[in-house]
Amino acid sequence: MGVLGFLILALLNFSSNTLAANNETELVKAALISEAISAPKNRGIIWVGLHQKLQPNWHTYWRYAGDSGLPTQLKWKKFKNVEIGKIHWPLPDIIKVGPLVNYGYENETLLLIPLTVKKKGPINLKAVAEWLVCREICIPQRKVLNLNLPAGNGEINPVNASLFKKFRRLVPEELHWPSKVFSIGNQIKLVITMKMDELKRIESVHVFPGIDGLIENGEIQNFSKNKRNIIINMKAGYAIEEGLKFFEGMINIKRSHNGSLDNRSYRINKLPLLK
Amino acid sequence: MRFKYNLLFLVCFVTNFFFISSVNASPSLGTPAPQFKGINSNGNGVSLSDFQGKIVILEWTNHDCPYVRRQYMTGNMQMVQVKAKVMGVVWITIISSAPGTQGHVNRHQANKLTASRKALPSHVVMDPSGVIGKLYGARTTPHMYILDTKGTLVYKGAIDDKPTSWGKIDAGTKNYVLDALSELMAGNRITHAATQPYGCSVKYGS
Repeated sequence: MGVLGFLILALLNFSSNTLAANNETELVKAALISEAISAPKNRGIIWVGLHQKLQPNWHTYWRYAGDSGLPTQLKWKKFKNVEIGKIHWPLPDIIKVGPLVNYGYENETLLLIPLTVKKKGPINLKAVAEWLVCREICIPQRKVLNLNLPAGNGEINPVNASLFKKFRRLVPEELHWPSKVFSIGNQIKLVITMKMDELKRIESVHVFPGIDGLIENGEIQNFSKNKRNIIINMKAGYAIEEGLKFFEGMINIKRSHNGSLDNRSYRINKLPLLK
Repeated sequence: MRFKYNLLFLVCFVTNFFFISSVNASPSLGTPAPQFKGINSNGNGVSLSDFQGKIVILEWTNHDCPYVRRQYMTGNMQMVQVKAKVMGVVWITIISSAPGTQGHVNRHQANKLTASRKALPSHVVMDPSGVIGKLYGARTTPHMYILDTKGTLVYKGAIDDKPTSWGKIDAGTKNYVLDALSELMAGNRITHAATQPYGCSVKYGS
């Protein structure tokens, strides 16, 4: 490392000492990890992830943090052989802080990122990760992370396989049922149409808004079913009052499945708000 | 009959209780801002109705929150306060941190903070019970509100469009509060009247 590099690191360290309170970096153990043990031989997609392990009771945030907080960010250094995709966020925990509601991750999370490999050869990635970690108090943290994969076959790394499998299951799929969302008075009503046998198995649902002010995060969501639909009534937030015309977010659905609960989430892409 | 009245009272009490304990009752833009009374850092009573005919800015704060610290360490919040003062705006800083939580200070400490940060609030209102904070749906520090000369809520949200606690305020930063103030003074519609507030959660006790 050159003098300049040292200076930059020293500066980073200085700013993190002055802006973030002291050396509490171990509140979050963070690393970039890869599902593949090596770069693939041919073009294709491999998955990497920002792995965060947190001290008990501390949390980092989902893509929409809720009433307060800020989502984790990754700023990548460009690497010519690969195209770096967006973060695929797994289902967050609902974290209540007094009367406020946050969406984030306690204990552990893996933010998944697809890499489109355009040219064979080793992969050397560098990113600056920034996150806010909170309990009652909040500490902003920042870490420079590296991930180096040698040229190879792109085989799955057995050490990381189960972690990727676990968190990939928590990433939402596309919502594939016919869905409508209504804005009625101060209520938002989401209606999802399903087949009878699908409907029967649904035990509970929860809607996660993707934008601030869509719904009141701390209010109860009323869930009901009729013969064709599941219906979720939520209290509208300030953005609706201000004329927001669409709904965006995610719905988590818990179904009974062979005596256990199957937990899946579905992305709600910009649904127009109907009157 | 008497029972009925008691019941009515109970219902009112209970709904009022829920209203107060919920932070979600964020007042709507274009409606009269909720009235409140509080005690300022000099021990004097402050009532919103004292400032009729003036533009009022409410600033929720917690001096130990990294987002607030950045605003004050860079001098950004003070810069907005100076400009507001020139425009004759009343600036009320409100501290809703419950006792024992981050940012909770006594009146003496509040005045020391104002002096050491060279801040220019007209009043620092002590709200350890969180009643005023919950009345306004304040959820982050900072969280900013602007009331026009008629006491109508015309802005609620963030101080600016760069939700970070790192580094200096770069030139491209859009200061929502300053923009709203100049639009308000010019008699124009406020372009960004409701924005997403960012920062630490307000440390309500419950």
